[in-house]
Formats: sequence, C-alpha cells, structure tokens
Amino acid sequence: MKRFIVPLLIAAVIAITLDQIFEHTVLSFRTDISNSYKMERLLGETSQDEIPVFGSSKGRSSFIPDSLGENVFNYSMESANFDVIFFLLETELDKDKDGPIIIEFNTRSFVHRPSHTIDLSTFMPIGKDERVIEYLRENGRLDRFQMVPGVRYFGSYIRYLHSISRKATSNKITNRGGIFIDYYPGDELLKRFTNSRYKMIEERNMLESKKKSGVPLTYMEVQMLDNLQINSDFTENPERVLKFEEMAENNPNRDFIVVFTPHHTSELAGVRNLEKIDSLFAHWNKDIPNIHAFDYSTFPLPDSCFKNSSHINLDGARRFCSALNDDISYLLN
Amino acid sequence: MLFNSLDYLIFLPLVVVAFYLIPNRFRWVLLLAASYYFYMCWKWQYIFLILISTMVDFYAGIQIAKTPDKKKKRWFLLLSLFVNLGFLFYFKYFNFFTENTAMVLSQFNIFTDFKYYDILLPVGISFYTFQTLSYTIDVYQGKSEPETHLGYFALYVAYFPQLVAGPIERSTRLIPQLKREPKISPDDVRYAVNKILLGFFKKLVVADTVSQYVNLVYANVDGTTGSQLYWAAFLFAVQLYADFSGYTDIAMGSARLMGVRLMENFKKPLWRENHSQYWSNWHISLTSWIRDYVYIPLAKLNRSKGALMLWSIFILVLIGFWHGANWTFIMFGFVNGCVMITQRLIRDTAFGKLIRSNIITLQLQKYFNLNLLLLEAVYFRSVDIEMAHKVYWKIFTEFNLNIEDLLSLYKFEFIVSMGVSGLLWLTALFNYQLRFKYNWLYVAVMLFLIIFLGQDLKNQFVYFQF
Repeated sequence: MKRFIVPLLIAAVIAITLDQIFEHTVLSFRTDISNSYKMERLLGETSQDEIPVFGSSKGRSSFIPDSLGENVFNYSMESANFDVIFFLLETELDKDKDGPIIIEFNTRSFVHRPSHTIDLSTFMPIGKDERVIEYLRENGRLDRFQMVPGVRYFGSYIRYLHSISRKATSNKITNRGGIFIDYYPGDELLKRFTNSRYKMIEERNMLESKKKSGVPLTYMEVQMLDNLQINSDFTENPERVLKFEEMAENNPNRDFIVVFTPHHTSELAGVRNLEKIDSLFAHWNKDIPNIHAFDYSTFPLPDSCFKNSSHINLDGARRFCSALNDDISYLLN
Repeated sequence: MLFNSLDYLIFLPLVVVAFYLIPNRFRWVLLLAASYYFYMCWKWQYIFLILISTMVDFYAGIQIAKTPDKKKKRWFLLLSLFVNLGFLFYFKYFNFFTENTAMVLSQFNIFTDFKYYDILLPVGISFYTFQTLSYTIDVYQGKSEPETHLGYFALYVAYFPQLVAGPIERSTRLIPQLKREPKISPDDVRYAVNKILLGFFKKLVVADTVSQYVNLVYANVDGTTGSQLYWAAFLFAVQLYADFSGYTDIAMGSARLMGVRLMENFKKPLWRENHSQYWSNWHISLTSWIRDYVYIPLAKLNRSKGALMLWSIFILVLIGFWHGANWTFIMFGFVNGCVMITQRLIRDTAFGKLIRSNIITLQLQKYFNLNLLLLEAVYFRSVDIEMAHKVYWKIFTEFNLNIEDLLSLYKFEFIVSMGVSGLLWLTALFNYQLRFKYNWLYVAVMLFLIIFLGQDLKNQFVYFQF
C-alpha cells in the first residue's frame, strides 16, 4: 500500500506546486492577446473611458484599437459568439460607465453551442470569481475538477502555451488585444481556400436537393448537412436577439455599435438569407435608439487584403477601420 | 459513463473497495449492478437490449446442452443468432441496407418509398453481441459447458471494464475468473495502476491532441495540401491506435484490480512486416473471433489456395463492415485483404525471402507496410468514398517535402501532435508487464504528463461508435 500512496502523494504535491507556480509565474507571461488575460482585465478594469470591442477572431483581426481611439481595447476571442459575448456585455454593463461598446457581428453570432464556443482556458485563471462560476454553471461548462488545485487547469495548459507562443513577429502586429497579420497567402493558396468554400456550398446544395427530393440521407450526410448549414446561412435565434435588445434597452446610457465586418465574397456566397440580417439591422437602427448597426460585409477589399478566406489582414483592417471611423467617430467621442 | 471522466475516477475506486468488503459469493451482484449502472449512464433504455440478449442466450445455452437432438440444438443456436444479429442489424445496418436496396432497385426503375429511421446506435453493441454469440456457438460446438447461474452469465455479458469496447472475451476465459476468489498481489495492483495510467496517457495526451489536427485537416480537405493530408493520415493512425489501445489499457487495469485478467488486445501492431502480422496483433479479440467463427468454418468448406485467399479477403471485408455501415469501411477491409494476399504471394518468392534476409531491407519493408496501413486508414476516416478518393488524389499528386507548405496551416496543432506521437513511440519501449526499476517515477511522470498535456475535450473513445 505504501508503494502506491507515496508516489500518489508525491504526484499530488508536485501537481499542486506546479499549479501554483503556473498561476503566479507562467500566467504572468500572458500578453494582451491572450483570452484569459482579456477576461481577467475586463473583470477588473475600472477605467471610465475604455471603449471595449467584443467579437470573435474576425473581430480580433479587424478592429485596430489605435485606429479607432486611444481608449479602445479589443477583447475579441476566437470562436466567441453571443454565448460568450453576452457574459462580456453583462460584465461591462455592470460597471458604472457611459461610453459605447463595439460588437463584431457575423452569421454565426447567435448560434448557441457553449461546448464549442466557451473555452475553459479563458476562464480558469479567474475561476474563483462568482460571476464566472455562475456563467459556466448556466452553460453546462462547470466541472468539479475545476475547483481542485493541481488539476483545475487540466486540458488548458496547451492552450496557454499556444497563446504565449503567439508573440509579435516581423509580420504579426498586436495592438491592445487585436492581432493583425501583414501577410497575403498568394493567389494560388487563397484560390485553394476559396475553392474549398465553393465546394462546401456545392456539397450543401447537393445534400439539400437530395433531401428535398425524398431520397433518404445517410446518417453521415445528415451530420454533414447540419454542419454545412450552421457554417453558412445566418442562424436566427429570436430568443437571443430579444435578449440582446433587452440588454440594450435596459442600458440607454450605453451605445451598442454592431458591425458586420468585411467578408470575402466566397464566404458570403454561401449565405442565402442575408436579407434577414438586413431587416434585423434595419429594425435595430429604426426601433432601438442605442443600437447602431453597420453593415460592412461587402466593403470593397481586394483579395490582397485577406490572410485567408475568412479573415482580413493588416492592410484590410487598416482600410476597414479608416472607413468605420468616419461612420462611428461621433459615437466614440 | 466515459472512462475519461471524473465520474469514472470516482466510480472505479468505490466499486473496487466495495468488491473487497463483501463476501465472494455476493460479488457478482455488486459487479452486475455496477455494470448495469455504468451502461445506463449513457442511455438507460438500451439496457433492455442487453437484458434480452442475456436472457435469450442463457436459455439457448442451457437448451443446446440439454437436448440430444442435433436439429433442436441448431434451432436454439439460430434463435440466439437471430436475436443478437437481429438487434445488430436493426441498430447498425438497417438504414444502410434499405438505402442501398432502394438505390439498386431505382436502377431498374423500381422506386421505393422507404423511411430513414433516426436510430441511435447503442454503445458497445458490436462488442457484447459478438461476445454472447461466441458463448452460444462454443456451447453448440461442445467446446464449453453452459453456464447455469444466471447472475454470472449476466455479468459475463455486461462486465463493465470491457462491455462497450472490448476486448471480446470468451466465456471459458472470463466466467471462471468472475467466479473464483481473486488472489490479488501487490504486483497485480502495481500492474493495474500502471496500465490505467498508460491508458489515460494514450487517450488524453496522445489521441485527443492528435485528433485536433486530424479533424481540422479532414474538415478542410479542399483547402489543405497533399503533404498535410499525408501527415493527417499518419496522425490518424496514431490517434486510432492510441485511442483504442488506451481504452483497452484502462479496461485491463480496472479488471485487474478485481483479480480478472482480460486478454491483451494490442501487441505493438504498427511496426510489422506485413498485414498478416498487423492483423494478428491489432484488435486481437475481434480478429481471433472472426478467425474461429467465420474463417475456419469457411476454410473447412474449401481449402484450395484460391479459396483461402478469397476467404481472407472476405473476412477482412467483414471486419471492415463490423466497424460501420458505410462503403468506406467495406473498402477499407477489401483493400486490406487484397494487400494481405499480395504480400503473402510475394513472401514465398525469392524476392520476398531476399527482403527478409537483411535487417535493413526488413526495416524498410516494415516502413513500407506502415505506409500502406496509414493510407488504407484514409478510408476509415473519410465520411464517404468520394472524400477518400479526393484525399488519395491530393496525396499522390501534391505531396512534397517543403516544410513551409506543410506548416502553412494548423502549425501549432501539427507540432504538438508530432511531439505527443514521439512520446507514444517511447511507450512502445515498455515491457508488457509494465515493470520498472523505479515505479514511483513512472507513476509521477505519467500523472504529470496527463495533467499538463491532457486534453479536456470529453471526447468519446473512437471505438464506442462501433
């Protein structure tokens, strides 16, 4: 028995020690592009003037804080949609502030898939915060092991290493939470990315026709079609839209600037219900005084402004922010 | 209940402690209750399938042994086959057969209006079905006596460490172990703990890490290069091995804590001279099942060289099809079978003997064999034949040694995947008994690696879907 208890005890001591070292040392190497840093900052930030930007990886690579104003901070995180943004908004709205909030919008903004969109490594360093615990619990992401020192970061260490390894390089610029890459993949590689998108659209259309004609889809085909539809068309979710509108209406002193960021034509080609976004934006602009929706999805950018078929590069971000500033500067000042 | 969950880490010690607190004659009750609970955590309704299989096969086994009439024996065997294979057919293959039948009939302008049923495949059905069938077939063939104690028989069918993903155990091996008073030594406990840790390492550190790169590449076949697809094929083979053998390790370790020795299901299968050796050392419990209950009876019908080759291909197609109701699995088996036969034919030639006579050429042969295996695994991973052929086309026309090209997408995931694959390769140096001079160091290092490199994706084991 001693033969097993001793190594287990040693392992437990090592795990807890390393957990503490990690928390108090390694995590401090996080830069402002790390999701967990952003989360911790948002919870603790008390500046009255800060203008936050919330969004996904599109938001992180589109909004250049320096181009928009000295008080802008980009809190965008990859895969974040309103599963995460609602929590960020609630945290921000709890503060005694008046300024605007910029929110990146895309066709998947209202998809509800917390297991995919809520990355635990973002929240673990502030895992003792009651608001975070409640948020994770509500979304079914709270696990018992998250309370146990030594194992609570289980599954997250690699992610932290990944974010720490993402330092600025010669072609990568970071700016108050945003990451901008001065890179164009070249015509051939971009063409491969865009062709891949068109193929997915063809695949989706083919499966839908098959389904419509009454031919039964295999289980795999059903799964594939679900995925293709979520990743192309705008996913409506009236309940979540309403929740967002109520949030805005309950905070009339804050301006919610919703921006549909520039998309490559290949990405928009798969969206068949863009008119639903148009009417949603029109409704917000007309009926809710403090939601200001701007559609830049078809903002004219050449291919050289994209780093892949779903994100713009530094050049694209500069052009976009310059135009956006003209439209929203009256709201930011 | 998944092995890779906190629930199992609480469940297993509780069961083991309770196991040793109660008298041996009642232990089957505890284990049976624990096994049913383990299964019902997934979807409680499907426990009735296991109960029906158990009752039918228990009854059939006794009747087969009791009746002297050969015809009646056959009827009871057919009853067992009908019920078990019937369930398997309905839950796993029904939609596949109706869809393909409709397709064939439509070629003759006969249009059918069949419905696609959204059937959830019961976890482990392919495993426990084969396990119970081996029992009734063995009783029919007179190789074993029927079990007369319903409780032990039910436990044999539902024993939780190996219920959902094997190893597929024979009744003559497992039931006696379940009945006898376990004699467990410190060495057994050492082995069990080491095995469980190894299993978690393979699953959480290797399989779940590598799966991220594989999934990214396969979700974007059109956007990735031939080189990336080749390495994704390699890493998928690593994922499959780590995932499945990791599960088996946890199963074996869990059973050993209660004095039960499950059979070894993997014996370093990937670095082998040919496919015959690979299949003799990969998922051994399934391949030996197919050999004993399908191949040998077929070989008795016709032992000619041509017929044996045909049976070999047939059983590999069957093994492929066992994995799933998709043409990709059938092609996987078929290609495997054709390669195996070709290798057998070459082996006995002068060229074949020359290759095996030299250690360098032998290693090259193993390397070549590994490449064939991982390319065949493309069928296994692809959602349909078209995707598999697209992957093959890109691998063979776009492959190059340019590192920049390889790292142009998912660079971090690729590097980490190769890193953990290297760690997996190191574990191949361990002896089968997992004996180490400094066992405490092994335990500490494994725990460290699992906690710090493990993924919390709550990924199901790949073989659960079979």
